Amino acid sequence: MKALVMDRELQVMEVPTPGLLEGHMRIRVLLALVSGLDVDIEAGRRPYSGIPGTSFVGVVEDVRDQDDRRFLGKRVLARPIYGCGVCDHCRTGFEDRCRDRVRPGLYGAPGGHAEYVNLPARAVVPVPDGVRDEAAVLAPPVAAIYEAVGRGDLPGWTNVLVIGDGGMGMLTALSLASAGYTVTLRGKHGDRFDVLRRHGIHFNLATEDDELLGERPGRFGPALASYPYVFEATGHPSGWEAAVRLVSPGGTVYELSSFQDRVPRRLTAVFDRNIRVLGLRQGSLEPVLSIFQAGLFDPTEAVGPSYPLEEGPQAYEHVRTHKDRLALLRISREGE
Amino acid sequence: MTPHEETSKVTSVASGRPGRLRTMQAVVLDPKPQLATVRRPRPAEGEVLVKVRLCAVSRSDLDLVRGRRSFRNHPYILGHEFVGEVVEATTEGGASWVGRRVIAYLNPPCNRCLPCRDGRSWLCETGLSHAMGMGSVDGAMSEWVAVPESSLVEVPEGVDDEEAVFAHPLASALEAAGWVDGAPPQRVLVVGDGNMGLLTTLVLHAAGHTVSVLGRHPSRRELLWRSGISFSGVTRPGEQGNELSGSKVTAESYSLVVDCSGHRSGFELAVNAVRPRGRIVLMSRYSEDDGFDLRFLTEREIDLVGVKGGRLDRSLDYLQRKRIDILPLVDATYPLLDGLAALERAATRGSLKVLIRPSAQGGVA
Ligand SMILES: [Zn+2]
Ligand SMILES: [Zn+2]
Repeated sequence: MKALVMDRELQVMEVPTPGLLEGHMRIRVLLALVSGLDVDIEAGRRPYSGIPGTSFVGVVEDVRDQDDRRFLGKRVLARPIYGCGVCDHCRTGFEDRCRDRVRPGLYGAPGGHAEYVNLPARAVVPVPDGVRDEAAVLAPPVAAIYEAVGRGDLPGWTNVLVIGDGGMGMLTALSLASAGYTVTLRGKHGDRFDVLRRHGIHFNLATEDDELLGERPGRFGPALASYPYVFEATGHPSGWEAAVRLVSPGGTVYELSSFQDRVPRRLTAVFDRNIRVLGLRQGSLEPVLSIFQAGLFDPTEAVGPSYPLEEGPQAYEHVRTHKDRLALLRISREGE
Repeated sequence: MTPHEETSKVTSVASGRPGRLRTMQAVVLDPKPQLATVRRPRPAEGEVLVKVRLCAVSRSDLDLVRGRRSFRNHPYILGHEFVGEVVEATTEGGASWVGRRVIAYLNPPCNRCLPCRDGRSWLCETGLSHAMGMGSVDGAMSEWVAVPESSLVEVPEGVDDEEAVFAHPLASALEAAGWVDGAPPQRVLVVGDGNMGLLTTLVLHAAGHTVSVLGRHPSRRELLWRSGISFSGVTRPGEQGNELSGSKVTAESYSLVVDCSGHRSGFELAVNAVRPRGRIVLMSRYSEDDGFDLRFLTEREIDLVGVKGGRLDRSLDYLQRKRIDILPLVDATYPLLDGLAALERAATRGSLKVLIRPSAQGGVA
């Protein structure tokens, strides 16, 4: 099969299609997301060799276990993390605490930037009819954003500040606006005014020299410093600095980026300003897919262009160099 | 040098206005700490004059003494963890305070910023510019101190002065304990066995949780064992005295870790010990903050919570109900004239809470 393989550098390669082990299902990948995580691997900031790709949708084409036959021919979305399924953590819903946890495309199993992936049934969630592949691959990041409500005590109908207007920032702003929040997006690019205006999102342009923050505290006055809830979605050190300064004392910063740059972040403000910082990476996929199915929210406006698998490295290039920071790999079609 | 050489420099901050030349002793930062004779404060409109009964040396006092933080504006009087008696008021409302025993918030509420409107005035956006003993406003390591009426909290009957001076750190400890998810007993790890670590440990234990403490003072073992709390000394001989090593803690095994260490090694221990989707509560500023690797935040979806202060009335209520025996945390009490020795003692490794008692030299009103 064809796959993107990371081995010192990222290449499109012909590799053996993996044999189907007991308890696994063979999934033909339809569409995969290229995100900052994948680019971190390509840039060597995350140690990984093999096939990347953490978020993808595919069709189940073959199964080993009788129990899994119900998945045959169905569209499924890969869960970003799954556990052994039998330990105490897994049985109580804390698979992320499982000693044998797997994150396809990051560790433990190959990812979805390939024609085929084999996964156990507990590693996928069915995609409801009516949810397009383009929306479904965005369910994992959107689920992480919505976790702010459940884990982070984000009250409804409040004002939130989103820092960063790249792909993840746009997705965050759109997700929160669709959930009824009053959103201000602060970023450097400001090239998506039309989309933002259509969704009632305020935009706050940070100029190049002040980066994303007031290097000089107080420069933006109390209007900017009075957000009790701030989402940080830049992945850059300046985004962290901006978040811990622009959040009001006693407020909450939701951290959505993965800091692979290894630039250390200072903690003094977290204590001095009594701030809570909540790292968000994943959430429940089923409710998000239901929201997509009901037509309550279409996340696809946050995504950049799509590329065929053969042009995988260009997709990575796009995410790395463009402000979109999210791209798609269109790997096969459903009917093929 | 004699105290009087200092007087001329200090009087201008101790009281901005001319008046009867009444003086008092005070521990002043200029920028090194010194004992000085300064002009007795005169309360401005909306302030009361408090006769200080007892003042503790706080962690932020020590940070200022060591130069880890600086507000310039020298000289000024240190101290905010005090208990005293209101002896003079400037308004009709203030008159009702006279004769009452009080403690005070670090700063008065501005009533405009988000935290103040939220009833959390100790987090006031303008707080630092009005904070006692932090450069702009004189503190309470002295015989008298002027305090805004709106900062005052009355100390109830049944709470001794020696207990009431713990109200500030206790407020933080109670906030930290509020971050435990689920009914007791939960397993909690406290990193650091200084004042804040021990106080937080006692509060968590009193709430019914199972607390383990990682610290560097084996002498703490007995103090904690009396309360049935397990202590692991983790000093690595030969290393810098502040290093903590976590060999006794299983990685990713705690849902809540409270870091009171103030040191990089303590934070790293906390990060190692916390479970995915667990919580780390930060109870102090780090001695060297040239940045931390925070990749664990999203990798393990950690909840990192800074706790700085809390409700003082809640602390006093807690003390009144005698939920914990706080007095073993008192290290020593010094008369004000030995204020510098008190600071030195408080800065000594392994010391606990050091108190300063102005009346010991029989201050005259
Ligand atoms: Zn498991
Ligand atoms: Zn305020």
